Amino acid sequence: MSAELWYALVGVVLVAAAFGAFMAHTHLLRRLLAFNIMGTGCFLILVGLAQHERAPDPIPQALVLTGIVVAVASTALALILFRRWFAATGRTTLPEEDDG
Amino acid sequence: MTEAFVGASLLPLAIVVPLVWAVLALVRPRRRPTFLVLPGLVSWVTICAGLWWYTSRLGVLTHVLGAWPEPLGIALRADGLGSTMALLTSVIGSACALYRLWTPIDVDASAAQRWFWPLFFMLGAALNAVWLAADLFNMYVGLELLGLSAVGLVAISGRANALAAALRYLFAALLGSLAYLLGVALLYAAYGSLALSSLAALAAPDTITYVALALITAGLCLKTALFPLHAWLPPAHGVSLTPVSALLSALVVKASFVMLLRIMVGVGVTIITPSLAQGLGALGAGAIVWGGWQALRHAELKMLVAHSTVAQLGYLFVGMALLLSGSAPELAWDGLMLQLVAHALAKSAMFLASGTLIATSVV
Repeated sequence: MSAELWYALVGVVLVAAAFGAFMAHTHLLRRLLAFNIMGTGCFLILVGLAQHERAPDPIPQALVLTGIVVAVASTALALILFRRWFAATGRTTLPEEDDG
Repeated sequence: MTEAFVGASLLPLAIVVPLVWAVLALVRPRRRPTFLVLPGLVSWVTICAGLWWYTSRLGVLTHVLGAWPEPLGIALRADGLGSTMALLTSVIGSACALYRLWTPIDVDASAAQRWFWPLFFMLGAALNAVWLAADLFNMYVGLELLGLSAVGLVAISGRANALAAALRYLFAALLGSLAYLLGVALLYAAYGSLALSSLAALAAPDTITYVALALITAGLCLKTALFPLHAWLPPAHGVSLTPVSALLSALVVKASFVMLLRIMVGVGVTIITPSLAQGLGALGAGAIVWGGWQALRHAELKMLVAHSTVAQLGYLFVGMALLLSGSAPELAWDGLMLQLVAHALAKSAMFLASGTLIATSVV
């Protein structure tokens, strides 16, 4: 098994574990962390699988760089929203949904 | 030759000009934003109208930014669907902006005053980026930009219920775009390309393609709020400022739908079996029934209109199922386009009207 395929498999495990954590937890910060880990797993798959049995490829690397920028921006936005939510209500979770 | 050149050079302008106004609104905030906003709206509508006119005369326009060849370069492409949606976006966006300028706002927060216009023009640029993207990754970037500016606009009033709705919307958007990105990664690993045009020729019905398409479909359905993944939509559309509700319902949910439509028609049409397409159509039918029922049960006007969006999005998926099942694709395509345009116009008008109704009945 090549190193690239190994990266991709680790990425799959990270995505699956983080998705489970995202669904299981209600604390907003934990959910955000789970999302970040899911993103990392996704990038590993993107780089690993695309370069598997091929020459080094600049395109997935460019894509991952863009993806990291997007993830940082969304994390920043989410943190700001958490702080405002916590300041407004003193809660660290969202209220239960009453509407299906 | 020159006419085609002029038409194609409008493509990057359609994205850059709203971005420029977003930056201008950010660095030069005005207490009275009319003189900043009106030129922005005029230039935006003019460019989109020009793009639509050139596309209708010359057919599909493409522009490769900086003459960098694909796949490293970024290609933009305007077809009938893309340029129509761009024109529709600029017209509805302008209507919402004028509404925002000329009606008293129901929150006095200075943050709402300060951040509305940058986010508004950012939303416009992101929508145009999605309509005019020629490959899967630019669609992803446009979709993320769209999600971030839309979440910002929902949260802008700073009230607790708006913040909760924005957070729920943000989580749905992030999860949806990660699923989409994962699908794109699998497609790139399988075919070594991200351009819709070359993927259409390459795609074969094997496992990795099915998994990739399933991930992409799930992610985009979550972002389009297809039943039963719609729970984030009514609060986000119901509690935000009136012009924001109109923009979100009329245009933003359509962006992920149009992406799904392009991918299904481009990559999936030879792979998706009629029964899979009918499965999507069944979810759409479920959305029509469930959204309509929920709309009937809600007493608050904006929540009622928001649930009606869930129902109307169902019709889009029913149309897509008919398109992919392939018995009358042209008729289905016409119906889809009609529903896209008609719902965008009707729902934005309805939200603006209900906002006025609420504002006048409270006083």
